Amino acid sequence: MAPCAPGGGVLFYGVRRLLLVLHAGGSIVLIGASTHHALQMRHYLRGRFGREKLEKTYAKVVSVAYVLTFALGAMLYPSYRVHVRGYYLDRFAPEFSGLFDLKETYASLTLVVAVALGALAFTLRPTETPALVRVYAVMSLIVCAVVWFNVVAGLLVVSAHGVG
Amino acid sequence: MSDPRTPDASARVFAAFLAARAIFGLAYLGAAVGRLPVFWYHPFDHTWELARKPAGLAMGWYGLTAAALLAAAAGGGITYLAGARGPLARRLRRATFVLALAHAGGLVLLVDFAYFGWTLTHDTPKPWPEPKCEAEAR
Repeated sequence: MAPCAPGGGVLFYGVRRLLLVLHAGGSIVLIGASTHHALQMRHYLRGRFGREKLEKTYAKVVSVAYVLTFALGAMLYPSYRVHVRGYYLDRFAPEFSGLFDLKETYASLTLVVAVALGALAFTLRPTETPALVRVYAVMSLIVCAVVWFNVVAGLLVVSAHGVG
Repeated sequence: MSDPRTPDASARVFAAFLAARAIFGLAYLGAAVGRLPVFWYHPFDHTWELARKPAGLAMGWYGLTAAALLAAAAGGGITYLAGARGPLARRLRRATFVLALAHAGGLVLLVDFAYFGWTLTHDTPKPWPEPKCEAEAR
């Protein structure tokens, strides 16, 4: 993949596989937690708050897993940008370049929403502020949808060309 | 007993994050569309460059995200602090105000998703030049 020296001096290239595994591991936790959290919202939207403790646990896991997965992805990014996208995808499979750009941009745009879910798990009392519950549910659904999109997009990009 | 002049804690946190989210979206979109100067990372020599357009091969995502995060943190922090007392605190006691903030933040998010969804899937990438090995250069 790298025609010259391995990695060509790119940051974290030597640990790219470890980073990819950790990034994928974080994504697995994230997709599970965000899906469970979004499913909990159906109870909230019906005014049933009996599973509040479980919901708040999912929200905290989503928040932490999102930030960790995001940070690991950011560390892996130079290896991808140079050796996957720069030397391969842009030349031979440009549609996957666009797909990855969309994935990273959507991940950035949703970061604040994911962190907000975790922070609100500490302060939100759904029984006292039912009007805010709808906003909270929409936030949960947005995070879940973006996580699903990013996992599928990530798998498709890796299927086109991995970090080696 | 809670102070009637201060809003509920969750309303303040909600407002802070909704403001932060809206500011993040506007900053990200504004910097990308307006080609504002951001920090570009040069992956081969590990240097940073503040520019509208980088000289040579560079990555803009770090700088764009960091700039938007900084703006969002500042905006969210100010909103949280301003929500403790005063006019904003009075407004935050009404759920309709927080819902209006949420609608604004949601609209910005929708515009972001639509704009970047369209441009990034319709952009033709320019491939980087093939790397030259030192051995070949000799």
